[in-house]
This record gives sequence, C-alpha cells and structure tokens, in this order.
Amino acid sequence: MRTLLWIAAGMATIGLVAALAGSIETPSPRDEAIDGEAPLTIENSRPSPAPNDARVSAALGRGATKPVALAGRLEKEEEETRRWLMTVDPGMPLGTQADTFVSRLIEISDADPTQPEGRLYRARATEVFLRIPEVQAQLQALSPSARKEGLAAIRRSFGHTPQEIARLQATDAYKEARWSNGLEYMKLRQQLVDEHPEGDALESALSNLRTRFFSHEAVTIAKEEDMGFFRYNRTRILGRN
Amino acid sequence: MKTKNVKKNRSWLPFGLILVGSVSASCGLGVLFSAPWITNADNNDVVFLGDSIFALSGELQDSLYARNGGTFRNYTTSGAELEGGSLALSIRQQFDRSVSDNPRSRVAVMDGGGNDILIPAVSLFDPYDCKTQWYEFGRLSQRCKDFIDDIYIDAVNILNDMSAAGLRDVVYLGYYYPKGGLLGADDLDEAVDYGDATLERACRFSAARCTFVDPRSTIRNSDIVIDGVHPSSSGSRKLADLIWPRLAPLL
Repeated sequence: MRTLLWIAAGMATIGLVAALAGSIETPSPRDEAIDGEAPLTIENSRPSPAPNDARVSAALGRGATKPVALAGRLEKEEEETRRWLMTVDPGMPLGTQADTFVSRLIEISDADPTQPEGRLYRARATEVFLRIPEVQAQLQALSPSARKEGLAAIRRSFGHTPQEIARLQATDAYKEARWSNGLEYMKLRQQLVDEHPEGDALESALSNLRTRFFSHEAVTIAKEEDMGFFRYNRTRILGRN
Repeated sequence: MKTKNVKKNRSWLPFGLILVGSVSASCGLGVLFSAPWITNADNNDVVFLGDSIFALSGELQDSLYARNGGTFRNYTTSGAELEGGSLALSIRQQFDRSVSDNPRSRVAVMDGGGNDILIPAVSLFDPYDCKTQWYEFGRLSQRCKDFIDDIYIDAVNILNDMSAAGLRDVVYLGYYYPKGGLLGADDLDEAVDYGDATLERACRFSAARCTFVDPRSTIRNSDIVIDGVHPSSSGSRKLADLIWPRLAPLL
C-alpha cells in the first residue's frame, strides 16, 4: 500500500516534469562587456550543465565532430563549471565568500540550501564549500576562536539554524580532539619505527601504542596500517573530518 | 557578479518534485516519508538502521518480519546520511536513539553512505565528479575517490562505536546500481563500485562482527521504481532474500 502511495506521488509529477523538460535555456554569446569584464563567447564562457543530448548537439555545433574530441570538450566544459563554482575571493570575509558560492550554486543547479526544501542537501552543500583548498587555508590560518566564528558564519550562509550550528561546533571540537590524538600517535609511532628494526618487538610496541591511543578502535587502525592507509595522513578538512 | 544566459541543470528538479510528493504523503511537515519506527518490537535483539532503501516503502523490513514471525526494532529514516544532514536523523543518531530507548539490542541490520554520495551527485552539480558520463570512459575521478575515502572513516567509526556500546553483530547492506530515472541518478556505476568496496572494507576493518551484503549482481532495473533509486516490491523482496540467510543464524 505504501509503495502504491509513493508511486502515485511519483506518477503525479511525471506530467509536470515532461512539461518542463523542454524548458532548457541555451547559452548565447555576449557581445558586450559587463562590469568591466571582457566580452565572452561560447568558447570561453562558463559552460553550464545540460542533458547529455543537448550538450552533445551544442558541442557538435562547435565543430567537435570526432568522439574523442567531443568527449574532451564535454569533460572540459563540465570541469570549467565546477571551477567557476569553487572560485573564491580570499580577500572577502568567509561568510561573504560562502554567500557568493550559494548564489552560484543556485544559478547552476537551482539548489538553494538556505530554503526549507534545501535541508536535504544543506550539509552536503556546506561540505563542498569547506573542501575548497583556499577556504581551508584561510580557516587553518585563524586562531581557534576566530576559526569557530568563521565556520559559524559559513554555516549561517548555508542556512543552518543556531541549533545546528551549536551541534556542529560540538562535533568540530570532538573531531579536533581526535586529530590531536591521532597526530600525537603518528609522532610516537614514527619514533618507534626509527628506534626498532622490523620484527616482533616493533609490532608489539606498535600494538601497545595503538591500544593506548585508540582503545576499541585499535584493531581498525592496525588493519588500515597493514594496507598502507594512515588516516591521520589524510587531508584535514576543518568543519568536515 | 551574476552571469547571464546560463544553461541550467534541471536534474535536481524531479528530485525536488518527488520530495514534495513524498512530503505530502508523509506524516510530518518537512520530513521525508519513512515507514514508522518500531521502538519496542516482538524481537528487541535486532535493530534496523539506515536510509530510504529500507524506510521509503518499508517492504524490505516487512518481508523480514514475515520470515521472523514478528517485528524487529526499526529506526530507518529516509534521507539519512552516515553522520551529518539537516533533514533526517543520521545513522549515528538513529543508533544513539535506539540505545537510549533500549540498550539491549545485539544485532544491527543497516545500510548507510548512499545519501552521502548520491545527494551531491544528483542535487549539487556533482561537485566531486562522481558521475562517469560516457565521455569519461568509466574513469572515476580521484576527487570522488578521496571524498568516498572520508565516508569510509565515518562508516568504520560508527561501526566501532556501535561495537563499543554493546552491539555484537552487524549485517551491512551495500548499494546496487541505480538506473536512469526521475532522480537523475544514472552514470553512477563506478561510484557505486568504489563505494561498495569502501563500505565492505569498513565492515571488515571494524571491531564489530560485520557481514557485508552486496546486492549489485541481484538487483535489476525492473527491481527499481521510476525514480531510478529505490527498490520496487520485487527489489525489496530480493534484498530481504539476501539479508535473511545472514540474519537468521544471529537470532
């Protein structure tokens, strides 16, 4: 019964979706500069995502007749749009940068994380912004209190409520403690590796160190290290991991 | 500065419309439709945690309840991510709630991680390039792999904390290949392959006694409803067929 209700809801949208399917806007070259910017042509304008068939037609219209050339063209356009989305101005406050990102996200995908219907992807949209290397560099350079306020400003720009921001701040503090613990472990681990030749003595010392630092997670850390994965050598994404 | 003459990606729009449809059929404003929770079941030893693969229709659980001859505890919630999210209780939050309600469950049947990958790919212009369109020739981007590697950490940490809280066994359901449908979740086969390998590793590396259930070779397009993501009645039945042989010996 539940499945039928759900399918009925889905079927009710098909007509509207079909009606909207033809309403894709197509880019056209701009002849005039805007705000001092050089005139754009389709060649160097920020490309926009579109259904595959429309993009294929557009690329063919630009002379990409061979499949490999066409593939390269489409991949390049896709990547250029991502690059545009994730270009930030480090001279602006973090909250302002986040506002710009949200505006661009809305422009290319109609996904507005600040609206009630955006709650489903609000956290993931925030993470995309946090993963921008320039944003992380700015956060890393801040004092702990300024960083906390910077993350709060970013989260406000994405529509997080004060309660969500408070919960995320607690998560940030928890993860910061884990990273401090993990980095201290890595330092002592290296000392043990430097002091002991490979063998049972080293393995025993490492096992004891893992237990001391990771308690019930020590077995996981050991298995990760056996496959060459050192989780505290990963890139730190403040506000995410 | 706003650019003009922008070709918009409409792939999120059907997702939003499905969401609206689901919300209108749901039991609460702003909440995705989920089958009701069962906090006190016929068999409280087993707790279900996860996302809409379980929760949207509830048929997967119903099929397992029928084989068991009674209900299990159920906290699955549509839209759930492993750790975060603003709309639905995360997998971790579901577990914490289940412990708060009754700390004695010893077996978890769960999934998790699917929304973490799907939501950016479908709703946010695929920022990590997890979709492999034809012109990418099956190559999953390193950016997507790095992103999924962080999801591995979330998954294994949750499993370890569940084990430390007293959970003895976990049956972890992986993800099947979605099909082209209203949610625009096509071109994700390589991401599903990498994601399932990652979740299987989280299961294997965790301190819990964890069994990974891989549905990729079982679920066909005909087992998936029109949104391209969620299981139909036949799909839920097949998933239950995969889970039951792993769950029954633990009861």
